[in-house]
Amino acid sequence: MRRPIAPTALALTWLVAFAAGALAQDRPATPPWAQDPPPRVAPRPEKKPEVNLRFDVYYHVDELHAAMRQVAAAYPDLLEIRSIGKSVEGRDILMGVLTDTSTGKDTDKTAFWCDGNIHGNEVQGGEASLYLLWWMTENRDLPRVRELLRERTLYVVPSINPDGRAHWFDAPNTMSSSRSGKRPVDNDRDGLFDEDGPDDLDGDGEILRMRVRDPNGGWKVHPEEPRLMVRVKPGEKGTYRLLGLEGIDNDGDGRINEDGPGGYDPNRDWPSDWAGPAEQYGAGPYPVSLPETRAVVDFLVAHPNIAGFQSFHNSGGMILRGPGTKEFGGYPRGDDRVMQALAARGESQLPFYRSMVIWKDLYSVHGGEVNFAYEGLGIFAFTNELWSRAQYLQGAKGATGDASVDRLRFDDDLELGRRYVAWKPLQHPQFGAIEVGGWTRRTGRVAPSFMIQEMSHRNMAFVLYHAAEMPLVRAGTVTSGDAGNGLRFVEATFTNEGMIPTRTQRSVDKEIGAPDRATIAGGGIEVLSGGVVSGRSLRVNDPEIRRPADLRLTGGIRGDAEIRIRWLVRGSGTVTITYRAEKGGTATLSLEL
Amino acid sequence: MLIAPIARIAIRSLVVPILAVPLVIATLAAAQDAGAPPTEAVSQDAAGTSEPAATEAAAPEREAFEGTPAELAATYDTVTLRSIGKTFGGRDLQLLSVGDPDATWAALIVAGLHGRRGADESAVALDVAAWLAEHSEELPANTLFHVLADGSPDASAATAPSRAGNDRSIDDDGDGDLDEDGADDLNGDGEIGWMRIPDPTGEWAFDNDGVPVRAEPAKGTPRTHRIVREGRDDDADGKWNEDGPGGVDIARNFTWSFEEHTRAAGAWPASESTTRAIMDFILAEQRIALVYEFGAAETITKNPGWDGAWKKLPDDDGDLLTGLREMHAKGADVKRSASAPGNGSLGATVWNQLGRIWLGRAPLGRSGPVWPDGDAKWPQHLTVTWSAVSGDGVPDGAEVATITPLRTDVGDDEPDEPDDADDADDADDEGDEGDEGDEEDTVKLPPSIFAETPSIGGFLRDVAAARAVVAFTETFTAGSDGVLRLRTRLVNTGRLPTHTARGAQLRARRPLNVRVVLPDGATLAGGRPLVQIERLAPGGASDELAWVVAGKSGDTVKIEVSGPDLAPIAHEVRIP
Repeated sequence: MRRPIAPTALALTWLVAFAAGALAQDRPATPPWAQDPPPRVAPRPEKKPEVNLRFDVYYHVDELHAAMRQVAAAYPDLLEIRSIGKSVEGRDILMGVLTDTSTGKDTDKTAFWCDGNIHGNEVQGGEASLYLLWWMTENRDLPRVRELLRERTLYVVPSINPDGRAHWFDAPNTMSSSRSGKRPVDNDRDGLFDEDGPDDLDGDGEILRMRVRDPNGGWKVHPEEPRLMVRVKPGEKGTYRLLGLEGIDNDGDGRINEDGPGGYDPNRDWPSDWAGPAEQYGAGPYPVSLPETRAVVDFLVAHPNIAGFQSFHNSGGMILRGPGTKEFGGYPRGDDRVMQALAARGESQLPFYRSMVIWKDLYSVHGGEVNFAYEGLGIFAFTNELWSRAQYLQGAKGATGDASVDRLRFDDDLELGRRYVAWKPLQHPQFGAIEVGGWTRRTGRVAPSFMIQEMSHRNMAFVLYHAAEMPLVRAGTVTSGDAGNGLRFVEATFTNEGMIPTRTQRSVDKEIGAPDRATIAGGGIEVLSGGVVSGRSLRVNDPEIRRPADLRLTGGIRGDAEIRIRWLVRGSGTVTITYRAEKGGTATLSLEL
Repeated sequence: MLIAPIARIAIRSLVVPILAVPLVIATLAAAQDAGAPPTEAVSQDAAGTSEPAATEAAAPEREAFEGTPAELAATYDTVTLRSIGKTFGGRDLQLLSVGDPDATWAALIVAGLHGRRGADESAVALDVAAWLAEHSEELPANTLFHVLADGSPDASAATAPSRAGNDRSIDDDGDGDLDEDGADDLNGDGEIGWMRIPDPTGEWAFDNDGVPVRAEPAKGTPRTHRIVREGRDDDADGKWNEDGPGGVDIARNFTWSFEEHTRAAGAWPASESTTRAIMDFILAEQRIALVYEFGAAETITKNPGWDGAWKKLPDDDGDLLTGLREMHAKGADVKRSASAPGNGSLGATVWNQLGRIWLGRAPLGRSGPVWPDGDAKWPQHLTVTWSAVSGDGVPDGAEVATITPLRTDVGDDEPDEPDDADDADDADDEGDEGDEGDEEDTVKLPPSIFAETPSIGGFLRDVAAARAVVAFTETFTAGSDGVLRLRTRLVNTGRLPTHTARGAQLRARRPLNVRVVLPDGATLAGGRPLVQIERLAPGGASDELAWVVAGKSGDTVKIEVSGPDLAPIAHEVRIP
């Protein structure tokens, strides 16, 4: 390490130089304090955004869609808003198509899919997606952003469950409702639909918990925090009985809240490894039974250029990948290694998030969205569970380690008590004198408002990293040589610059999508055979002779790898060689024979 | 009610093996014992080939219906026709309904889901619809029969002979191109026949008459050829007809045990609008208690054995199936191989997801695989000649088959009489050898596909009559001064359960919902306001119910029962 120069030495040097300069010049010396200040490196503050969006609030679906349109209006050459379908209640499912249109159509580029809010109450996926659209357009001049937009497309749907999102804002809800969409379901099988949901008994706009004093109850007041309830231990006597969520017996069947609005799980409606409603709660009668799912599936199937996939949920701080069930078995090793590498980078971008396998580390899911993306379409896919409760106090001094107490302390100290409702008495039509109170919907699962932007930015960074690693086919070299007897070899190389292969092993194994194709064409040539040059032997061990000018390369090009293709031809003239990968783009070489 | 009989043909009676006669008599007697009308019947020879039995003397001649659904609907005022959805190709799924449109119990008859066999199945289903319409006055009150005769109209409309699927183009060979190598009419006869290609690794050899036989090199029959559909290698990939037009096989596109990544089964369960329309229809029609399908599966002869998608049903359902088979056997006595519904089939889905009863019937002549699939033998009544073909993409040495019936009277509308009445007597004398009599006269002709219509129609009528019926029994009331204590039993007096055991396990249908309706001012002091009963077994199974009501003396408490396919009932009790 170089030794730093002492300040006194610097001053002495300056004085000597100044004196020498003064002596060398005829004109009177200008003291340094009178000279123009040396040019400074221009400060580079974040530029003022074209579109002023706040990321310390949650947007109603109408506001979310308006914000998307606002961004698109400011950056029409980068962002287009499309509706890909309608929800049960007729709302548009809006997509932002993000790409630099000056370099080609969205469908001509390898694309990334990102969605949020499949569960109506998991709202922050909407903000994270909107943030992605906004930040990428506002920062279009950053070289890496520019390159991404030139060569890739991002299809971003902030809310694929707009009804559920609207209901979360518009109706009284719990922390965990409204998870489903708004298709009526007869959950209690009494022939009526959605007739007995929760009720906002105290009119405060929230569905809280109900409790009643009971000397034999199973709950008591938390010993350190009287606002909280804890279950009694064996041998202990309780003081309260919990009566569930705020509600009454609307249909007179003796039960409360057993058939509320909707009542299904949109993330059990996807085609791969699907199981019916008898096997898992929330599935419809068949996969893709919901209009929202159908809109997404139709789009995905119609866009084989999609090679990366991200779904934003909440919560728990997870970077989830399949399989969804143990019975499905493992993913091919090569694919899993790439997914692990992607997720590992995500863990460094997203403190408090862990890389996990759905069935092994969370729970079993049949017919999940990201499972369909990979298992059905051969696309590497992740679900991020945005926001972890560990982020409340983040291990700060004073944290008790008791999640409930720490959350209350966070609410008291950082949100000034806006998320917790103290217990209050109420007269219930069935239970008589009860109390209602507890957490409102904007706690537990969603990030506190002042932390939305950081959550969104970090998750966006993970998406951009994944998107940058999608396959990208580049033309390499093309050469020719004498093969004797008037024949010539033509040899071309193409590289895949992404970590992700042009065809995942899953695609290869299950024949998903089209194989890569390498074609050679030229008016003056006859193509006699062709094939991939194998490893060390540098030979074409498996020549195609039936249709050698149009090779089907089912294995594609591995990530960060090269493919070398050799043809045997007769004739001369200009030869054009094209490599087409459904998910890696097209590259062309030409040669004069 | 018959308005105007149209589009009919006479049913053909064919060669009669004497062996069948005693069985027929027994069957008819059983059917008549049960009050069912005499029916035609078929029996089977020792080799397993179905043969029609001598029924002219016992059963009245009946003309089969061979018109369109619209013609059938126009013929009977008890029949309605509507579309329940569209196929991928935009064709209507035409549903006939016979009976009381407001009925609380219904059955669904489905045919033709698999296109390759669809024509015969659909014809039989339409004829069954006609039979039901003809016998509408015999049908139990408050019942309805839906008939979806053509479950895959895209496939029916297709001209390709091997087409099993709908109009959706699929990349059968996974080369990235769609429908680029279908069959071709190489000999210009307007048909797509079979083509043999010399191949020492092929599965086929030929006898002196050019009839294909399975090669068995170990037994001295060397491999000489393979057999494919007539066509050329259109895409120069070394394969013939591996990626023709269409399509998804609807018979494999249902949800239960769906085969993922099998192109012909569809991209995912219920990926096809046809499949969804059928499932949506059944789901919406809670009153459908039974689905009867004409297709590849045969579960009426006997249980094919639990395996694969034919997952073992609870014992009660197994017993139910046995009972239904016995009920069915009263109409006809046909021996044939049992065959389970496969992966992604309607049958497996109806049992295991939709919670209803399903029965599968392979129509006559279709009980085994179509040659040359599986182990099917060359049909005895057909001859074959082979003609050389050539051209681009046609393999060297290829020959196309011309297949003709041995008997030229096949297809006559008039009934075939036995050549000689004495033949029948002779055969009778020969007992078990009867079906091997004079070869010239006993060439095995397939029986009429309509031969079983009356037995099937009769079964459907009988099963409707056997449906679950619930009633209150052993009702006990007590109390005084405005307090009612009520105890009763809800009993199923029908011969079928209110729900299948599998359906009850799955909670696939609505349960029996028993509601207490209180008069104004009354309160339910004991018991549940809504009692949900998942299943009542047949034959008198019951559940006990009890309530205590406090109210005004003299007011009436009502107990209402509803179920997915039951006529609702109510019971009223006065508060003492």
